[in-house]
Amino acid sequence: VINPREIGRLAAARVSTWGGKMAALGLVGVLLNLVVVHAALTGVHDVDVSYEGLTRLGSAQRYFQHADMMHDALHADVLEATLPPRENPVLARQPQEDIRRDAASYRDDLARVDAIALPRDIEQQLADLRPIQNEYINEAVNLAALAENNSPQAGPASRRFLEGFEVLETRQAQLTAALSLAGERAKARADAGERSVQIRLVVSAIGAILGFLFLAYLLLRVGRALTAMIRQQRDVAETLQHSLLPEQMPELVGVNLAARYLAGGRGVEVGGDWYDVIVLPNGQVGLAMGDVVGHDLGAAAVMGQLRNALRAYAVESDNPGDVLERLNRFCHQQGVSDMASCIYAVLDPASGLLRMASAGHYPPLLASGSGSAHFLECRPAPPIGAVREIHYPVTERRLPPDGVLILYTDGLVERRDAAVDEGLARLRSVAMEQQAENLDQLGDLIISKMIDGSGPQDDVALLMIAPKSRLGNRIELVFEARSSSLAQLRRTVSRWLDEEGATDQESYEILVSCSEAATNAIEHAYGPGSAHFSVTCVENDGAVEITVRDWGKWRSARGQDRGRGRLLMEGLMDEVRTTTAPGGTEVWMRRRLTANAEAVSAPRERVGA
Amino acid sequence: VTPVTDAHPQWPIARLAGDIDLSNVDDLTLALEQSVANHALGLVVDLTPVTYMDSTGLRLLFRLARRLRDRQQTLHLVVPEGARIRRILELSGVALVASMTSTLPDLDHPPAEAARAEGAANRWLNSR
Repeated sequence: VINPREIGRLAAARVSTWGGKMAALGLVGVLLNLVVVHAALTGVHDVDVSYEGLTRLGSAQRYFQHADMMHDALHADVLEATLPPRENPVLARQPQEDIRRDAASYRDDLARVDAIALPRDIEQQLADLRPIQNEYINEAVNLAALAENNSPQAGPASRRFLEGFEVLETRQAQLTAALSLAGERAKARADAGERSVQIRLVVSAIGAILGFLFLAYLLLRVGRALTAMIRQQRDVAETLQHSLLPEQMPELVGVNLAARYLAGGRGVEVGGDWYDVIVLPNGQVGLAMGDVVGHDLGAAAVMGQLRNALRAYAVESDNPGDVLERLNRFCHQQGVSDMASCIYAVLDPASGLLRMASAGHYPPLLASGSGSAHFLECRPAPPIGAVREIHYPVTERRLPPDGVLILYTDGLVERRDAAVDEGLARLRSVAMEQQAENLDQLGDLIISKMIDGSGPQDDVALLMIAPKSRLGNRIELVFEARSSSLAQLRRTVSRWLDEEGATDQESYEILVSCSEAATNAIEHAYGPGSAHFSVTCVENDGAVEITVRDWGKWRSARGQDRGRGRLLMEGLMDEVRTTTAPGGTEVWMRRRLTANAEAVSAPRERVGA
Repeated sequence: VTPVTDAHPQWPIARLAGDIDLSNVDDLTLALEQSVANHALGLVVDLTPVTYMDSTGLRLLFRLARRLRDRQQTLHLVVPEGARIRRILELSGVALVASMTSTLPDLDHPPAEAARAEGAANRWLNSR
């Protein structure tokens, strides 16, 4: 027996180990992805920075080159100022004007270069050069003033100036070269950075894809694990329920039986539907169909209790009303809080007499071979477990020889989108129109017509029973070796003898002989304890042959009364043979039936005449 | 099967119905033995409603007859003409220990006389 709480605990444990592993793996995946993305972003920033530096270097280089040009222009201006003025008025210029303009431009260019942030070594070189440049500009401006005043000193001063600042020219050229070199280097660096960023971006894209795939895989695995777990729980519930349903229909002589059970709903829903077939001590058959309210393991467990209790009460009483009354009392005594609808019917296979009691269950359907079908309304009574002391009235009906009794639970006729009456009407029309050859076919037909392709919404139990039209020329029966089996034996053999055409008196006398042998098997062949005996009836050439066999130790009859059975067998049958072996005893009896005897002996008489 | 007993001052009547077999014979024997008071002349067992009986039922009748004889009482059986159980009663020789009629006799006279009269009538009918 499996405790529902235990199932829950196992499931939780499974989820937690699974979840732990999965969460750790997921976290690692996400972190890896973050690292890759961060690296890519940093690369992008670095490339930005290096490009910015490169741009600045470019500007500085441009301004500095311009400054250099201004320096050269200034040099030319000063050189011009040392020369005598031209005759040509167009060319007559004021060199001092040019000097001032170019000096200003030179200063501006330098100021622009100063405003740009540059690598430290270059800035240092610029700073070193700056005082000389300033002095150069100042001197040039002074020269311009001398030239303006046509000072005689202007010529010699200019020559001194040109010679004095040769050094500046050289250093300025060096710095221009340095700037250009730095620009080239920065360009190379930025290009390399760009390539690395491209690589990093590709890597992070691959990482993102991998991360995505990993997460998808993770979700898939978690989903699978959950599905497996749910399926497992459902399997447990279903196994539990199926273990509570009859594994196999009992072999009953005289009736055909078939059952269908479909688990409905989703997830771990499991119903409390049950059905049962019980062979009663008097040879009648108890048929139970019930439905415990609820759809969980608890309902299935209650169903198991009710089923077993009903079995026990069924053997004690062949009155279905009493059985349900006791079941209801049991329910209250045991404190079972769930309610259950239930129908219990007792069928006498020999006569077709059906006695039934219903505890709030749907009425059984009786379909007959002539194409009619109607519900057998039972007198209404509340479900099991609803009212403490209650009498369940018995309804009697007769099952016609070509009739099929159909018991079912609500799952067969109830649909969420349709009224119950509709379901009942549909079941009735299916039963009326059916052309099924046997009960198995009928069961498949009913299920296929009543349940749509998506499966049942609720659990469905279906039980069908029909009297067998003929037992056949040979029947083999096995009984428990106890006196209560005798009635069942007589009932079945009597029906077989009727089929074989035995007269009422013959039938009775053969039954007595058969019972005598069976009584011997029960009384003589066994000590206390459970055992069995078998009865085989065969029609052979106008005679019936009955073999009663047991597997016990033979004891000779005790007392004079006990020999009477043997006397009766010999008096009533044409032939009786008893074989006793260490393995058991076999009594073989034969009697010719008059109907057959006449048929066989008639031609012989004619020959005699 | 429970015997239904009709009250007659000297002859209690036990009516057996249904099937008599190994499963109920012990209870039945006890019930029948207790149904006969000391002052009664005997017991009438009406087997008319019996549907089935075999050697266990015969055993019951023989045992009952022996008990009654020990107490100077007699056993009378009512078995209708043409009843299915008649043949096994005849085969068993129960006639040696009990009288038998096909209908319930007038109990103001000894039932054995009625049985003899019925037997004589049958013999006469048979001889015709």
